[in-house]
Parts: sequence; C-alpha cells; structure tokens
Amino acid sequence: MFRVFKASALLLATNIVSGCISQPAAFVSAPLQPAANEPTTYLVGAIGPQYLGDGGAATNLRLLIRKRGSINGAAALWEGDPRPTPADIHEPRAAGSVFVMPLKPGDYELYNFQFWSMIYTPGLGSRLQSREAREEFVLPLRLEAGKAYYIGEFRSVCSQVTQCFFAWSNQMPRDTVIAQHQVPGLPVLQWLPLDLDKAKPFILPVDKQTSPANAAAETHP
Amino acid sequence: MKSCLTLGALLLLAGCAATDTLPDRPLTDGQAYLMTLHVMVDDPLRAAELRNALRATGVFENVQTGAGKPGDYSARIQFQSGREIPPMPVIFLSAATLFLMPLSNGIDTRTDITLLHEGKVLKRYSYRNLTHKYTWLLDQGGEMQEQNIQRIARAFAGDLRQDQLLPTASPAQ
Repeated sequence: MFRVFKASALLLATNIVSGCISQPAAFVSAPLQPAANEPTTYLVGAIGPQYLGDGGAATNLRLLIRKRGSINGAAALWEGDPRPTPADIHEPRAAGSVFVMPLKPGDYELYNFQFWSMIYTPGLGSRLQSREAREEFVLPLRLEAGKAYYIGEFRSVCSQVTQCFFAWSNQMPRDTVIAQHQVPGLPVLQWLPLDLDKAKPFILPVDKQTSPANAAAETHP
Repeated sequence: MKSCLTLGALLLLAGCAATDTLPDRPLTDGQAYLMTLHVMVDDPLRAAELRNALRATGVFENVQTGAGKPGDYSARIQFQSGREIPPMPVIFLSAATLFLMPLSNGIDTRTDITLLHEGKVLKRYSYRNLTHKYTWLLDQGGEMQEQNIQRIARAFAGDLRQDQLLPTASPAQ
C-alpha cells in the first residue's frame, strides 16, 4: 500500500514539476490531431517577442488557426514564465519558439491572434489582459497529406504593452534546421505564401534580411 | 440503480444543451471561396460579431466592413435580438436553492439580409432563430448567444452558395 502511495506521489510531483518547466509551442485540439496511422500534414513557423528599449512586451503570444468552416482549432504559442515554450531562437533583445503543428490534411484558416500582457493599475494591482483583432481576418491554408508547410516568423513588437503587432519575416533556412531537429523525419519544408494584406495592420511584413527564401516570398506575395 | 443514474445524467445533460429552432447547415469542405462580401449591420454593437460569424463559415474569401467599391457585392443586415428572462419568482426560487435549480433562458433573433450589387437588390433573406437553454443563474449564456448568431450566419452562407448569386473567388491555395 505504501509503495502505491509513494509511486503515486512521485508521479504527481513529476507531473507538477514537468508542467511547470515547459510546454510545446503548438497546441492542436483533439479532433484535428491525426492518429498514428492517419495521413498527416505539418504547419511550421516561429513566434516570439522583440523587446524594445522603453516599450513593454506581451508575456504570452498566440496565433489562432481553425479548420475551415469548423469550430475546431489549433494555436501556435510563445510564453515566458512560468511555463515557457522552448527557447529555440537566440537573438539580441528577442526570444522565440519554432512550432511544428501536426494536423489532419485539409483546408485551414489563420484568423486571429492574442497578445496577453500584465497590466498594472494603481490601486487595483496587476491583471492579465488579452488583445486580439475585433474584426477577424481570413488567411487560407490548404494543407496536403505528407507535406510540411512553412508560414514564416511572427515577431511581436509593442510600443506599449497594449499596442502590439506582429512583424512578419521569412526565416525558413534557420527554422528548417530547428523544426527537423524537433521532429525527426519531417518532410522537406515548402513555402506557403500568405496574403498578408488581409491581416493589416495586425501582421506587417518586414524586410529583415535578404535570403533565397525571401526572394521566393517576393515572387509569391 | 446504475441505469437510473445513467438516465438521470443523460436527462440532465440533454436539458442543459442549447436547442435552436433554425437547423444547422452543414457546409461542404474543399469548395472554392465566394467573392469578398461587404457587410453593413444596423446594430453597431453586434456588427463585428456578425461579420466574424460570417468569416467563420469558411464560405467567403473575405468579409469586410462598409459598402465597398463599385462592382463589389454587399449585404445590408437588419438585426434584432431579444432575451427571454424567467420571471422573478423563479429567479428567487433558484437563488433559494443555491442556484441548483436551472433557469429557462432564451435568445430570439430576427435577421433580414439584403444582398446588393451595383446598387441593385439581388435577393432578400430572412432568418429567425430561437436558442433556448437551461442555465444556472450565474451562467450568462455567452456560448448560447454565439451559437445563436453562428446558426444564422451558416444558414445565410449556405443559401448564398446554393443560389449562386455571388461569384466564386480565385481557387484557394
């Protein structure tokens, strides 16, 4: 009896500690998760904050994706403490995680985002506040079985904690290495162009660096 | 005893699920998007919610605000929604039982949609949906309200696809 109790206590402690340490950068709701022998498609990208000198930064970022015409969804997320997502990207004044999202093949849409920030109000203390687009947008994603699609890096930039947007850029060469390390046997990443005009002013493309992948992005707006 | 408990649990769950008078319209996956629709709503407080519900149908390439440019398709929506609240004695009775007694709650929505192109009326659509649910006093029924509008949006999107009044957009990627 004592052994059972001891094992249960150890298991509980392990779960609590592992839960406090980290979480994956991709969340997929159960109806969209492919079973072991089912066809699978992968959506890959990067998400994280850019810290400015005097501006605040969101403590929790999410990109929301849904199956077209369905209530079932998935999310790419970056989070700091207390349950950080993997620190895959190491750059000055920036952090980020690469997400690899296994999904059932089909039509999906990137439709919204969330910036969670800690807001301090004198006399009332601190509270978490979420910002999202009041009017959603529709960025179609057609995902075929056996393929892996890259949709870019989404880096939050906040002039204040309540005024944020995503600076989008193509970091395919860098993120390919990280994604393949995360999921061994991942199919070769292919570029999935997004019509970001529909997501203005929430997601804005920035010319971070010139690379062959960026050149591909320019030819497929 | 076990079967009685199962039946009781099923009845409780069935009683707590929201019911709608407007049937849900299954929308076929994999079809091409319809062209961008510009949507104007006479209720500014609910306009964004209605447009988001239309976007969530997965039928339109885009749903935008305003009347659009010449040549664009637009929809003018008249939206009326009322709430059915149980009588006060029933609310007091629920409070007396520490809110264990569920309350009957409903949302009655009437929506008239006029589809326009180049200033001409193409067709008028009219929908009414009464969503009903047994809720506890502290349940504000936000999910019920969302479901009420989504049913109407899906019905309109399904009718529009069936009527083929809106051209299809360039094929999805």
